[in-house]
Amino acid sequence: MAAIRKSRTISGATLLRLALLAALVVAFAIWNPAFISGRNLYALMQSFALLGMVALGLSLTMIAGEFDLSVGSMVAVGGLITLVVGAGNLVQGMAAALAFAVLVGLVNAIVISRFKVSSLVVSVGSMMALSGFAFWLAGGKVISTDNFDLGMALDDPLLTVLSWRSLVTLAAFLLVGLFMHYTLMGRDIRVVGSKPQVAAASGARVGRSLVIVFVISAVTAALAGSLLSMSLASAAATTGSTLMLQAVSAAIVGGVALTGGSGTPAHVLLGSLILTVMNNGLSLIGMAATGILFANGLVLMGIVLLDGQLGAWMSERLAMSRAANSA
Amino acid sequence: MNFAKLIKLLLTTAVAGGLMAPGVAFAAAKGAKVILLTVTEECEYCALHQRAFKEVAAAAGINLEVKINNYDAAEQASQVDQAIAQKPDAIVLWPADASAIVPSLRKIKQAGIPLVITNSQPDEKYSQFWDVFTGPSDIGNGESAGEAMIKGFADKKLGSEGKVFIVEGVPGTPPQIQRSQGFEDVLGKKASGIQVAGKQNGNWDQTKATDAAAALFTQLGSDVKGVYAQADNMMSGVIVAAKRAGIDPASLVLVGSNCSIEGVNQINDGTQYATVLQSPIDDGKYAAQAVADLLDGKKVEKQIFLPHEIITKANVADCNAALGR
Repeated sequence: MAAIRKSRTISGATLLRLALLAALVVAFAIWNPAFISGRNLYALMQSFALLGMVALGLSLTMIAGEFDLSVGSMVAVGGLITLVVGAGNLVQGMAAALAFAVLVGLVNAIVISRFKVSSLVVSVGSMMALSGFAFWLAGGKVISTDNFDLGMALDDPLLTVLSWRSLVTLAAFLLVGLFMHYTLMGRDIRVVGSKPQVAAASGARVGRSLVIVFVISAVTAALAGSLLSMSLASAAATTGSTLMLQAVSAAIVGGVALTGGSGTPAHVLLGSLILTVMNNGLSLIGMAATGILFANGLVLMGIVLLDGQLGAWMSERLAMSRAANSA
Repeated sequence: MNFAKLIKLLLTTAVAGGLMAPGVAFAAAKGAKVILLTVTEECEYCALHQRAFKEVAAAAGINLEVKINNYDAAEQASQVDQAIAQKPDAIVLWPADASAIVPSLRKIKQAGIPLVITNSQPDEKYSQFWDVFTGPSDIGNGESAGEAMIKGFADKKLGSEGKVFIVEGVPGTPPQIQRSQGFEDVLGKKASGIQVAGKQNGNWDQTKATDAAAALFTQLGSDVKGVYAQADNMMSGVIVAAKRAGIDPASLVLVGSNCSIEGVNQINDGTQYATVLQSPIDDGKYAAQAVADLLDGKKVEKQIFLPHEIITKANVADCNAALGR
């Protein structure tokens, strides 16, 4: 009973992040009340829809102890395939983009697991190949469409602060979260990430785990790019070039370890929200783009440093508190 | 419930529509909050544009906020959403991408916020989404470059026939498409013997332009008599490529654009023949004046174009005047 109860309590590190998120929201709301206006929260959720989707997929590869560097290029390819293939029907374009992503994810995973090549090396290769493919698809120009209806439908506000785009991302978090929490495969993915040798010995399905995480990573990136291309009615080969770094930051800020084995989609959701809230709030109070980048770096470093120290201290205090209560 | 929401939405829209009747503004420029959504501060043109805008806006008593997107269309779309949330009296927008901005323009229109577009005009079929466009006519800019090329052939006694090539800006963008179109139209009408034998992307970047021009010099060889670079900083790259190819740049008719410092120096040196004046100061001033006039309830033309004066060594001083040097 005690063990079960302990496993369900929020860790100190997560409490720290929740406190940070709450503090950011309160600080920005005080600094500029427009921060909590419906329209600005809508803008915030629109940014979250793009970053969160990419971070969700990428973080699964991190939890599995691997890394997918190609997500940024896949965002561009997803957007371009949607508009090029879907010139007459954007839904067909999206389907083509997602099918292509499944194929790329499969190839990445098979090369990594069958040929024992580092995922960093394989995904660098994928990144370069996809980037070249993006420029080829674009034919040296920006692809645009006059079909605004679907993009506008995706972006029109729902309940003031949401849109179909942000709901799709939230739904993706829910689905992946349920998968990771309630399925044996979800457990296998974490085991593969934390103890590769033990995982192999205990029969955890390493190959299949890698297929799943790399396919999800590619599909979420392509989906993010596809939805973005509909929203902008435009796609370019350079779209998404900064997203990979932002997605990694979101995962780490949320509590996913680069070393693998720890973290859940809930952590990635938290990290994505922290970064989105911070970027939106800093922009609203007038900070320049360069300052916002600087702040992102500081928060990332601060979180990583505090994780080892303050997180442990908070966990210790919580344990003492629970011990006192149970006495 | 849905019916009640629909009624509320319709009433809100009607009220907003009524308040924003054409030609009537409920906020004078003095004290008005205006948000300028612009592309970057890292190019000279962009920085001068912004500085000039700020000066005119300040003189009109406008309370200005500036947001920069570094040519990222998705970031600009996000900034538009946030700008709408701040309920400004007007928005001035320099599109990071003139196609990708259209859905955002629709949002600004729906929010009932007066909008001035500066520098890059989206396709005119969407013009119902903005109140005023101020900035260059890229067709006009290209036409002036074509006129300069013809004049250069005559001045340098190169005859009435020969090949030229174009080093273009970012592909798929209005300035790139329209400047080339204007240039080719003028040559086609007035000097059909001068042929555009090649085009390459220089992406408004000197290094990229060097590579593009090198490829074209290799391909076209000694037949090249002139080059049109859609921006002076790209012409610097063309000149480097020409020298590496063993060609004296002064023997060619080199026509740039924008009166950048590189262009002025090269024209004074005699390596570049001409440029087309597109004053970033005028560009910024026109936009600021348009938004001030709009807010003051004055009649403002839908399109206000910059002049596109041809600049050669004889009148290169006009460049410095236009750029405040």
